[in-house]
Amino acid sequence: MLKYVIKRILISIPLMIAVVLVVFLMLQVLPGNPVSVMMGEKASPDVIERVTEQMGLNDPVWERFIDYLVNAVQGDLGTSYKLSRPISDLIADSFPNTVKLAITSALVSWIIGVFAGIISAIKKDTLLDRFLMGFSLVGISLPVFWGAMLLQFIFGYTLGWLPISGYSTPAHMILPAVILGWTSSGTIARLTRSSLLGIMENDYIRTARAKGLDESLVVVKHGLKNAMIPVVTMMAMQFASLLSGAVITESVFGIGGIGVLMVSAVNTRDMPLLQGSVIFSTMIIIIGNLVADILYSFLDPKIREQ
Amino acid sequence: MNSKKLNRAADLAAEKIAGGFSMEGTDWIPEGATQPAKVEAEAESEIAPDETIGEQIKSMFKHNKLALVSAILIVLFILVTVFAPIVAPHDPYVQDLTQRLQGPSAEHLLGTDNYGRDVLSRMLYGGRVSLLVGIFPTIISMTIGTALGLIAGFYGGKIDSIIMRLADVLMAFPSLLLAMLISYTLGNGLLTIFMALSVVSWAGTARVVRSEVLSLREKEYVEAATSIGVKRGTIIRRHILPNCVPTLIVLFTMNVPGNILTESSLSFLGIGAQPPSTSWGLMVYESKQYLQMTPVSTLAPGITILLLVVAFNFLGDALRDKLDPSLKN
Repeated sequence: MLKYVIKRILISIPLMIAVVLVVFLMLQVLPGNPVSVMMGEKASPDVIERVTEQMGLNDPVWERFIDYLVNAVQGDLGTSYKLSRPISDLIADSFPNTVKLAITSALVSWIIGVFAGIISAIKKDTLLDRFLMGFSLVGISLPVFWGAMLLQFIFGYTLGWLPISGYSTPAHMILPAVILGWTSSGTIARLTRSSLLGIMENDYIRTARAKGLDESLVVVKHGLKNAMIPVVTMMAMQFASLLSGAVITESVFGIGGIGVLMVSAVNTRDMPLLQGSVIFSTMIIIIGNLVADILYSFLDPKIREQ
Repeated sequence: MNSKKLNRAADLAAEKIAGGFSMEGTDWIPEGATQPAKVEAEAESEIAPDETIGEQIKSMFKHNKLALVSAILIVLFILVTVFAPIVAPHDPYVQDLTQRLQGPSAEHLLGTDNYGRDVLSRMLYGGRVSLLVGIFPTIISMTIGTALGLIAGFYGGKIDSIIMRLADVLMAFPSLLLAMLISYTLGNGLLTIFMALSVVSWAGTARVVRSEVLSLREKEYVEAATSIGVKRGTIIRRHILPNCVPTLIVLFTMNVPGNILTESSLSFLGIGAQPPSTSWGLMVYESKQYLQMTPVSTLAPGITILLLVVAFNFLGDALRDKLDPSLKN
């Protein structure tokens, strides 16, 4: 078990370095001179040359990459072109907002997803099952920006119950959490349903029923306990993905998180900021998947024994 | 639903009998258990999967009305957008500021936008973009993924680990972020999104095809073919690839809606389609500030995306249950 965990962590390290390398190559090497990209076509060649030299961009690519990597490990992701602040500070400012949104929307997603999945599995092939699975599929298929707008229109403009933009009070979080939670809940609901149905076909479930155990006890004590293993793993991965920044939801509701930071970096052509925030975001996903994997091996007794 | 369940049970039964090799539909359930010899004989002789897949899909549509409705809806969407120049009631680019922000009327069924352009006509033209970006990059990325998956699975060794590690790296990125990175480098626009989606999403296909190849490689008929000296290319073409077709059909149907959503999200962020050309995502973005004045024309493009994606997802689910239940997790 411990060996597996260590091995799994060691495998992730080259993956992380590769991710940094991919982002680095895409932003700094492919398009030619990043300074001219950043400053636009109007900048004079002299200025571009001076800035390039200042930023150390005339050094060989490998040297720059190693420098970047060494600094990144120490938490230094460089300085934003446009905002002239350390990128790690900008991330530290916006990350709490992303965390707030991630926690609230994950709660919505998990509550809807798990309940819908369990009810669907118990009431398999009934109208309720079809309705819940339809609801989940619509959630998966929903363009988030549009669903978000619709909620703003109904609950913000028309009914006036909730604020439509910003992130200062808990009430501001309700609409974004609902839309992001709903679109994320579909995967959980479908997985919970299929996992529970798979488990309920096992012999030990039949034994439990034959003992005369109450059906709800059979489902909860024998079924759910095992059916939730893959679901919990999926939840961990989903939470990581929410933590990595909800680009669209944050943009529509004006929540100053990591997602908005990335979009503004694209729009203002702030290369170091885009580079730093994308790397930060992807690291969260890799770590999340790592945690999910370890969690899975820990929860599943069949693997844990090995 | 019951018939669907029955179909799956039949598939699973067939799978067990044929040793994980399921090509037959429901028609032979009753005598299925007594017919393993027939299945094996079939596996060893020529396989004609195209025909059987066609039959399987036909029987799926017969039993699953939701899938049928979804397929009809998708075909309809494709037809009206392909024939947009004929179907569209107005020129989607002609501005008429005296007619701006009108509600639905006989002249403009879905009203007009900020520049007085007909929303229905713009949606028909915008749909071309959404479908084009949904379908073609999926084909390109799946072709790349299939080729790399075949190579990785069949040749193994170093080349396998190189391809799969590359896939790992790509899959670590959320696709929206990768597309944003690529568009930062190559500039905003549809062509960029087209390229980004084509290049980015091959990894998933490669993984699935590779694992398919790994299990097929152990089959007796492949071993037999290898032992009598059939060339690798021929084995891949005649024995491996045809068996991957059902999986590829399912993957295709499930990848298209993802690409449609990514395109609309990027266009909504202003990174995708650029005005005056249009796409459904861009239309939602352009009209969002007029939501209160003209709710119909603002909400219409979003509903269309939702409908199309739901249809693809329903169809994908049905195809998966029918052709390759193992993809479920």
